[in-house]
Amino acid sequence: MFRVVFDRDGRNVFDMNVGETDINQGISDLAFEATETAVIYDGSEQYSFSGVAACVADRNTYAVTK
Amino acid sequence: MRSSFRIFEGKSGEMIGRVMRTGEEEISKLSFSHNEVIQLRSHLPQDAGNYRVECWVPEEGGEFKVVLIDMFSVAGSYDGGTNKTTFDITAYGAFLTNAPVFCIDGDDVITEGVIDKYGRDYLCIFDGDVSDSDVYFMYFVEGNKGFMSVPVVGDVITVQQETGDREITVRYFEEGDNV
Repeated sequence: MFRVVFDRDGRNVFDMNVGETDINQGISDLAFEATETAVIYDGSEQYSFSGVAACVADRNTYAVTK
Repeated sequence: MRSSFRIFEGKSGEMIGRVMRTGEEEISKLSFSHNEVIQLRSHLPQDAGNYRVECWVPEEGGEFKVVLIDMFSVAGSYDGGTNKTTFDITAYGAFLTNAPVFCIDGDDVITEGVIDKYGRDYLCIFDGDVSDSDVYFMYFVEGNKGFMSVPVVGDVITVQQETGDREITVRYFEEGDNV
């Protein structure tokens, strides 16, 4: 599961499993788009999706993009 | 095109920057400019902490593209024998082999390369002589809404809304803050 919640003070809540790439999951605004993709990289291997790539080792990268 | 950003301090959640390209409104505790590009930092912090930038547009709306640049202040070295230019970024941390990396010269010509590891050194490798260029990582999200949270390790960090006129929320913070 990949869920990003935007609360009103600008903080974000992650609810996800590192290493997953889930199509059709994404920003939790009750309006998931079919083109939306959530990506999570834990910095152990190099992956890229659209404009988001894992570059730094051992650091997490998260994105929801099309 | 109008760029609009809100910038939050990670630990307190306080909004410390609100920047509109028109310059109509600006409150800042960070050092940044907003002549199309928002600069989140201009040099490496002295505390050796792990820093991160998050950018997002949470609601549906017009199409946008926001680009994050994480740039290194290192000199390139050209090898005429191999016709390759390398930039050594070992001092900035550990990196993933084959990760995409970019460089830009004074004429705004952009070249794409990759990271490779030689012994304990991490090198950004480009074809040809681009030794006068600046080397950087680039990340972007685009669409009607989107989000990214990426580690930043370079000297200069910038964000820019290249397409669209959405309000982009940007947060630059040290990992370990209560976020």
